[in-house]
Amino acid sequence: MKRGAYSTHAVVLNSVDYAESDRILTFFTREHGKLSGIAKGARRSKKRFVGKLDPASALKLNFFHNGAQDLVRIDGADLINGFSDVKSDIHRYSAACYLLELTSEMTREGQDLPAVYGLLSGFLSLMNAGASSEALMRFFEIRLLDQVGLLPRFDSCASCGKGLLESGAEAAFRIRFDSTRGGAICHGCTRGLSTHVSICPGTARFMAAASRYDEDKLDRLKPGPLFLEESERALDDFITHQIGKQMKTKRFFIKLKGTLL
Amino acid sequence: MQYAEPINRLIKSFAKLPGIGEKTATRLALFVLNTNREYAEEFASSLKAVKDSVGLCSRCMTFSDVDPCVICADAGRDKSQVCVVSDYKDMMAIEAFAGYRGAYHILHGNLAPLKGVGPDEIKLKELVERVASNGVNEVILATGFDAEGDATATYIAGIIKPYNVTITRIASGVPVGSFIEYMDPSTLGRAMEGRRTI
Ligand SMILES: [Zn+2]
Ligand SMILES: [Zn+2]
Repeated sequence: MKRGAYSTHAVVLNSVDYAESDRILTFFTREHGKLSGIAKGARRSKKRFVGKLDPASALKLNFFHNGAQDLVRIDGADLINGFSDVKSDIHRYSAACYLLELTSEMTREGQDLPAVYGLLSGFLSLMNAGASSEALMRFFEIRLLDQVGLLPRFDSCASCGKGLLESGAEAAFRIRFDSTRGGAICHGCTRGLSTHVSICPGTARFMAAASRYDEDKLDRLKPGPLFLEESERALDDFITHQIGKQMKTKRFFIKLKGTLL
Repeated sequence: MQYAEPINRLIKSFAKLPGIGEKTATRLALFVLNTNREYAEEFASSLKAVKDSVGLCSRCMTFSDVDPCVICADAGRDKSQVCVVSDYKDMMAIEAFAGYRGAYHILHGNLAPLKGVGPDEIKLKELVERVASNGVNEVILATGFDAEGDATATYIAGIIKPYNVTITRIASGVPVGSFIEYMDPSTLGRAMEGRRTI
């Protein structure tokens, strides 16, 4: 990026306090991909940033890049959509945070990913409108993995390419999903397979469909509990393998579920 | 050339303070080196004393050198009213506006999915026990109006609902997304008076 002032649409991915009253923010922008910046005085009331820099807010962002440092200077922000319904409930808010953290983990600054801004803001809108967070998280994982070129194989063998759903005898077998080898593995390629997640063909078919469906029609897919449970396990295994650690929002889900309160 | 080891240690300690980088830490360490011995000893003993003598009040979880704290021990304050704040600084900000005569509960944080901070890592269990043990009529939720503060308030409201207490959220005059500690006293005063049931 050249030295100068810029204006772009952006979703706030994360925000951490810095010094007395500043915040350091990560954004996903429509024109410049992932970006980090500093907002001076952002935590004081009655300042230009109040209420605009929360995670999961979509904004029109004005920033200055001096051409050298990694952090841009945030000069102003206008809220496009605060997704306030998402933020009024910890279950929905944490699901939204998961989309943010996943986007942050799967992308690098300077990487040109023009479709990811629309993907993220589109899914936040669906979540804000009350669509099932569980299903949206799974669909988002699949679509984002596709955007960054890491989509695993669901309905064909990641080793030999053989189609796995053609036999028609769906209920009779299960599919081995091996994250280290890039997805589903056919029976003939299972030699040397150690740990894997086992999913039923219906789940594999549903995940494949979710990767191909038009984005604006995704909310018409109504997955059942078996899909949600199996796809969660398979995709969690795959994503953890890709990023090499457990995500903070995933740990949060476990804590929220496990609390005795 | 490297700094002598004791200086290095001091720089590292300063650098752990919030908002202090390596450069400022070095400046502070050199200041301590150049200052007189009395100042340094006074500073060291305050650091030690604060950790030795200040703990959490067993009722409201605030930092205090006595247990119960002065507010919980004050017979003139209405203990049936509990104002829940995210941290100590927020409590001090509300105290600066002299109109509130109830008690507090300090959570020491908010639910924070992006930081992985769950319900068992803030002082929520203590709040529920307090509400469950009777004597509390109203819980005033005064967490911030940023996403974490708001989601935390709604979560708490859901948890204490079964105990049949009035649950209110401070509201009017507070810009969405703002932080309690940076609000001016009059805004905070209006927010406290304009609280609503949730
Ligand atoms: Zn194969
Ligand atoms: Zn107390």
